[in-house]
Amino acid sequence: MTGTTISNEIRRLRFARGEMTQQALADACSVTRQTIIALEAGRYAPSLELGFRIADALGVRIEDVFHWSKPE
Amino acid sequence: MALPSARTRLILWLLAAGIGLAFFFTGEYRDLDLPLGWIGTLVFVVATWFSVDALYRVPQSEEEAVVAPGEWQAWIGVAFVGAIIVASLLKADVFLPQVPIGQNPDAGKAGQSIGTLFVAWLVLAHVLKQRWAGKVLADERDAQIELAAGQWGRCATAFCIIGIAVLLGFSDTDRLREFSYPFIAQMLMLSLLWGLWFDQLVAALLYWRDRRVAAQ
Repeated sequence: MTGTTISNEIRRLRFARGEMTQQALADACSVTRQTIIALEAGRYAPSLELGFRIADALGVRIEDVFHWSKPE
Repeated sequence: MALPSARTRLILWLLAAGIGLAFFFTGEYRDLDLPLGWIGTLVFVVATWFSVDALYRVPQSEEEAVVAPGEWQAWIGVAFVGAIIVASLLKADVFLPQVPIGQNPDAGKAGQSIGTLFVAWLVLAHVLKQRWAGKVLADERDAQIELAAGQWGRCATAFCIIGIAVLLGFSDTDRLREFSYPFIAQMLMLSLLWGLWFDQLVAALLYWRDRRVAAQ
């Protein structure tokens, strides 16, 4: 899908969590690996539920993973 | 002599299946002594069977892992629905006579060819699902892509139907007599197929665009 105003720290947090692979995170969140790739590239804004699932899988709070920049 | 790798065997069996399908399409319409249509069906079935076996033995490559299951299915849909549309257009003239489809043997043969392509598509889609058993095949991102592609598909169908309506509405009486009811039915079927093909194409392109941008 198109670019988004929501940025994220998924890649950094994956590596901070023992170099967790994209596939492992995808499996933990019940999504495809390609969705994780799209999220890390900022090509997709997840639903609130998926956001919480990702934060849970990474062991952090949702606000530590996602940031919203107000469009100008 | 060493056996070719599983990947090479898969490619060779798929080629054989393609040749079988080509025989099936052309065999019935050629004035040859050989029952090419029947041989083609046999080759296609045997080659598909061994392709399935080879597919299970091929280790998953990085390329396969990077492409989403939804994208694979969309590209396969583009190929098969495209082939069905081409086959329907090539046989469009058999629907011109003012004879019901059930009483027109040529239309029956064309229907068999198109039906075989549909079956081959379903078989391949099922085999791929089996190969990806246990993996997540679709999630909310796939649903969003399908939604966007579906909207484009509906627009394409509507555009085509309007085109047919204009064609029929503005044709003079002599020209209208040339359009049999089976031919008009075939045009409506083609409109649906066109919409489906466009839907699959847009989905495949959206997946591909995301993948390409993410790789940069």
